[in-house]
Amino acid sequence: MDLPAQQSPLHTELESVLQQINLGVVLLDRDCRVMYWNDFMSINSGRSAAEVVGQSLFDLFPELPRLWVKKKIDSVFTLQNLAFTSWQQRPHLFDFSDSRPITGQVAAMYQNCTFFPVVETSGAIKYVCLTVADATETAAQHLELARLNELLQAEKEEQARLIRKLEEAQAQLLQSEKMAAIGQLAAGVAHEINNPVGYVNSNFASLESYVKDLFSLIEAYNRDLPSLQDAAFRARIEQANRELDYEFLRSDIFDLIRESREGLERVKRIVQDLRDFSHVDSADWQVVDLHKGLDSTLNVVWNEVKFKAEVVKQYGELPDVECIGSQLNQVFMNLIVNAAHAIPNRGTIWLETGTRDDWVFVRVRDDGCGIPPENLKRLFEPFFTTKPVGSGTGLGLSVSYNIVSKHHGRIEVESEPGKGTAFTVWLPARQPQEDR
Amino acid sequence: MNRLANLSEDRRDALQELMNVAMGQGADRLARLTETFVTLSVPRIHPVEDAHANLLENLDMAGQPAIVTRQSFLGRLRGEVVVCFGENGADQLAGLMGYEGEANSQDELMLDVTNILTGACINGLAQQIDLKVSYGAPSILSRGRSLKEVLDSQVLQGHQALVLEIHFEVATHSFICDLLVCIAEDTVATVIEAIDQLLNDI
Repeated sequence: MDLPAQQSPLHTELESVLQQINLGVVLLDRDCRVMYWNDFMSINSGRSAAEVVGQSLFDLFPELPRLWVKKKIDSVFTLQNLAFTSWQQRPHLFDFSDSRPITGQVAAMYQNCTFFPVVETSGAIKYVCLTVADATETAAQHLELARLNELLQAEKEEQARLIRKLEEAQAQLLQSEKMAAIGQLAAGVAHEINNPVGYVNSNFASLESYVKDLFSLIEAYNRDLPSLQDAAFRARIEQANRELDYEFLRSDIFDLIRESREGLERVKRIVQDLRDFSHVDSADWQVVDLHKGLDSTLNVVWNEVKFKAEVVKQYGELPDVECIGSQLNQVFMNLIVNAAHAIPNRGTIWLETGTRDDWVFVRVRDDGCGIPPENLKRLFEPFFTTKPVGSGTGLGLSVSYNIVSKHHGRIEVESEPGKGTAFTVWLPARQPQEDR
Repeated sequence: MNRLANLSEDRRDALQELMNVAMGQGADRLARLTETFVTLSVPRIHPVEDAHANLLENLDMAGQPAIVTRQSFLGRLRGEVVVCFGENGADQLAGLMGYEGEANSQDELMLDVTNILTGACINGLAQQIDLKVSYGAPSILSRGRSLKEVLDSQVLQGHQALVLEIHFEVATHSFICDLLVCIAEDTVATVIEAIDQLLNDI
């Protein structure tokens, strides 16, 4: 090429520096014709300077993004400014092969390129110089680091996920242990109460018949009273009858006995419900009537519900369902208590049951405050609670969810804020054989 | 000691004028490059003590998530230009910059725009005092965070800053970005010198 005529003593040396420097150096004119092409370019492109000088860069390398390169070069001419490309955005401007052919893992040379104006003494720009630096080493290291980073990140996330899962599992285990312990306690208490209630009840039966007999006796006396000769004695008896208000006593004593026996019946029923609810006798898979479970559960939580809501039972026909009764009762209890808590003042809780195809459903519906949509998808997350600190563990629904999953069923929620919520537990009537 | 943040009114006006001329040249060249009509708004300049100070009050974009790029300028005038793009980067300019049909080129396009704006701005300044400046390659500083967050998370070396708001309209493509010119403490004198020279010339 024509180098300026000024002859400096270093001229030849400088030219060979340019020729041999470990950097691609290309001079381009305004029409993108190659004016200079150093050894680095010859070696990597396989085309000697003699072959390329004077030719258009785009004819030589048709794979170059023509529009983009042209704009780049124009911008250097027009703006009299540098322009850059980086291996990160444009890894291989020239399709040169990898500079680590043996140990490298990359196929092509990564390049950092700089376009800069070559300003003549007059101030005009005659050429654009393009330098191509081999960035393969940096790029390879960088990419390897990025890959490792990604791997570490993935591992970290996986660990965090496992830790979270472990925490959840532990919390759920604790909660179900707690529930089981409470159930056991309740069953124990129920058993202890059952005995005294039993004999008080049978004693009351005897007592009632004794009292009846006693009154028959008194009636017999009273009947014969008018025929008694001793007027003074008669007057004393009548006086005593009046003072003790015998008529009232006679009518009231049977009421008392009846009410007491009713009370005892209730105690017996509650005790039975407690036993049914905790299923001490059956922590195993059994084929049970879900309605019975629902009823006994409702009785157990009646205290939580009775001041808040009227309970409307809309039971359909249900086949007996294969399940672990005590666990399902826990689910029903959670749903009923939640429904009661969702009712701000006074409302209604509907217990609906029925079947669809091979599925049995139990629905607990309330007309309470409803669940905001943003909370709906988090309902079954462990520790998720909207109750004030200390009143809810946030475990009830997550434990319920697990119990239902274990029964190969599912829980569905429908809720409309301000209108109410319906939780539907879907269960298969029979469990799949292999998972029993 | 000369500070950019408390320039006299004359010097401040001169600095504004200096940047106007610089950006005017930039717009003119950009118009020739893209062969379209380019409006580069008169930049509003806010010299601040450092890039952290009062930035939120000065820049509309500083609080919004953005893509932030940077480029060094080196020599007797030394520092870095930080460019704050909106979430769409410079996508509007893709066609004009020769990126038509190039996939995944958002980053490179932004770096190109960074380079051009930095060049226009710093060359303009350097030429006034006949100074040679060289440039490092631009790079992406951060994405998805606001300029304020980015600057707060960086340890910035001693510097004084010049905030330039540049509104940049190319024919029908409207595009806005903010430039933050951070000048190294030890070369601020060079800028003041340039200002004084300009004042003397008038």
